[in-house]
Amino acid sequence: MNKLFFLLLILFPALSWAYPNYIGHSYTSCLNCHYNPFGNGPVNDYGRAVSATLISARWLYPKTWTEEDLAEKSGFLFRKPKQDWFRTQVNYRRFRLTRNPGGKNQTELWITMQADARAIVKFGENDRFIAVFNHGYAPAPLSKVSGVKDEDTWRSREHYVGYKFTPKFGVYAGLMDKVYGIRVVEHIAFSRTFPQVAQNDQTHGVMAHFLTENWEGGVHGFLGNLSQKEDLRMKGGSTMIERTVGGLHRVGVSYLNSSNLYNSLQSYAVHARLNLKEGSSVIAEAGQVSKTITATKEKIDSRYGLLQTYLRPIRGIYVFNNIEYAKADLTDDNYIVRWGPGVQIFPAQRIEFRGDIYNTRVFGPETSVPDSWTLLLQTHLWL
Amino acid sequence: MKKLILLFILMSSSFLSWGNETNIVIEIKKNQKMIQTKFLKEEIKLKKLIKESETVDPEEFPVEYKKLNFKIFASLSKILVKSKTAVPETSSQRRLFLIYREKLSNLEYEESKVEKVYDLIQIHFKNLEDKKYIGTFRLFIDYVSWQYNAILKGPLGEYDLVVTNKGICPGLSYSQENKFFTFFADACYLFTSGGVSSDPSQVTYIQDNVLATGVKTSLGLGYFVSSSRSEIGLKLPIIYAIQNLENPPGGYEVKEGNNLLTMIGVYSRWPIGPYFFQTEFSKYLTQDQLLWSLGFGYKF
Repeated sequence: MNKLFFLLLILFPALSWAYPNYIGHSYTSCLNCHYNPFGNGPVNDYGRAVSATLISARWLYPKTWTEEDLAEKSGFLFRKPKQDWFRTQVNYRRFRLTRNPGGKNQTELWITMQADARAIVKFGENDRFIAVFNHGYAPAPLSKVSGVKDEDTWRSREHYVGYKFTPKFGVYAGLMDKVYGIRVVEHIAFSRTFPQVAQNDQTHGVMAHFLTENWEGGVHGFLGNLSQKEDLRMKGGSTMIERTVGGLHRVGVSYLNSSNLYNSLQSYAVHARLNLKEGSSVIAEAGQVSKTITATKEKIDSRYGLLQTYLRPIRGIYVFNNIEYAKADLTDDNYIVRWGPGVQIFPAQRIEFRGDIYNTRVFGPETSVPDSWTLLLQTHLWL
Repeated sequence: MKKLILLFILMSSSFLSWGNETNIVIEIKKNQKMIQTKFLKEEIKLKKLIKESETVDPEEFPVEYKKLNFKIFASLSKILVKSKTAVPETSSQRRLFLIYREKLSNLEYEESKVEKVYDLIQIHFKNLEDKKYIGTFRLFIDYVSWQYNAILKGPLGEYDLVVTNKGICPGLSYSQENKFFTFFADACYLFTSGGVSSDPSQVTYIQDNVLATGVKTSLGLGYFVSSSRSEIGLKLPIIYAIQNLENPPGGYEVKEGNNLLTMIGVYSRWPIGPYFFQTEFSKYLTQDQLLWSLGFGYKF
């Protein structure tokens, strides 16, 4: 059962492109670099400059280029924007998935995970008003469920408007990611799939965000994705609040409640992001999800844990461990631990190479099976 | 280092020729004697003003006197820069060096050169300090999970088994580390339990909660990646463990395989004050299985 569950997670990959580990560079709030205050999606001008001058290596640039030059050239098509009100971005991401690498049952698959074109319209001091449009490609699930119509592979990934009433408080409305937990980049993280806050779980709704010296949080009321049939739309609300500790670290809690005609979902989590300086960080989230099937009143409680550790040996390279725990049904003794070391390389701004090894081990009183292995090699390009 | 030599060459008009330490010491003594004989009055006055934190008027001191002080300062810097070990700040040489720096600063003589030499000497000793290896002990306890292959022999053939264990491994490590690198050996007592289940389509054999104890020891090397001394590295662990799985009835026998397992792995460690958090991901050299662990500890 657990193997099947793991296989399903692999077959329905989900992505969310945020890098919460940059708390290791003292960026506690996602708002520093993203238009969406909870991260993911388009990066603002400052974020682009940070990616050029702090995150990415300088290997491909002439030595005569200063950091200021790199920041100047970090804009779309290597240019400094000539106006303040309009920005564009293009993202492409493709990876090779190898199951059982080196084994007799080795299989390989190439998947285009992302091909997005983004446009941002913004006005006012500190981007007081923003309108974000993100249209792109979402890969179709490899395993089709009979009777369910395929969604378009090219569709709006997100579109929303936002207005900051004060620098500390803003309201956003449209199709966005749900406000919940830590938006890690890993596309199969249990912390994203269990509470249904992964790449394809965006929802139409209204979100309020606040930021003070020590606190940051938000409340999100949502109506589901309006492009779905009404009976499938997960409606509800979520909230996330974080506190800065010691000026460096963040601890927080999240809660989500949603339902449609067929089931309801309640999820809560505690999370932490620790800044261990110069790019090193530790990210942790533990949560529990209760899913109730409306027709039968059957309730399934699940639990998940996430621990990510990042180290930056040199500029442009991050070495990490992705350690996950999943218990799909608390009444069952079996659980999964997925352990994945990996490396992320940014040879220059706009280029990311990433390699992940996932080792999945099943624990249970009457279960002792060989681990399953997955190798992910990924290229991410953006303009 | 090249910068330092270049700087000294640039300053050669004021410096004595390069020589061995004895010659330099002789030069220092010669210049000190010259100050005592020719500029005793100025020397006493300058020392008194500095001691009493009074303002020094450089115009009241002859250039020749200033030059002699600068020569001594330069000679001292030559001795210090040749040092291959970190000379403590409390040593007589370094204290004397600082005294002459202060004198020249008050005399406002070649201040920029003096400060450059001072900075380079400081960097030189910091580099020496950074390269110095010191011994460090750590106590730790890991939560560990490991698998290994076994074989179930029966009347109709052999069946592959995988044994999965989990438990704790408290232990001790000793490392020689400097600012950049660490070389270490560690050992811990493996106190785990686990079980085995066969492929039910072939034969049914299930064992659970069977004690597996032993020793895990490793040699490794690591690299400190940040000022907080987060580290990453490679290690070569060896496990010697005993786990007695029961033989099922009916002529079946379980062969646990080799009790000695060799591995290669990556580890990482994050200190938080004297405490630390560590992970390990090690693959067996002769089997497909692996060991991972997650732990915390205390650095002495």
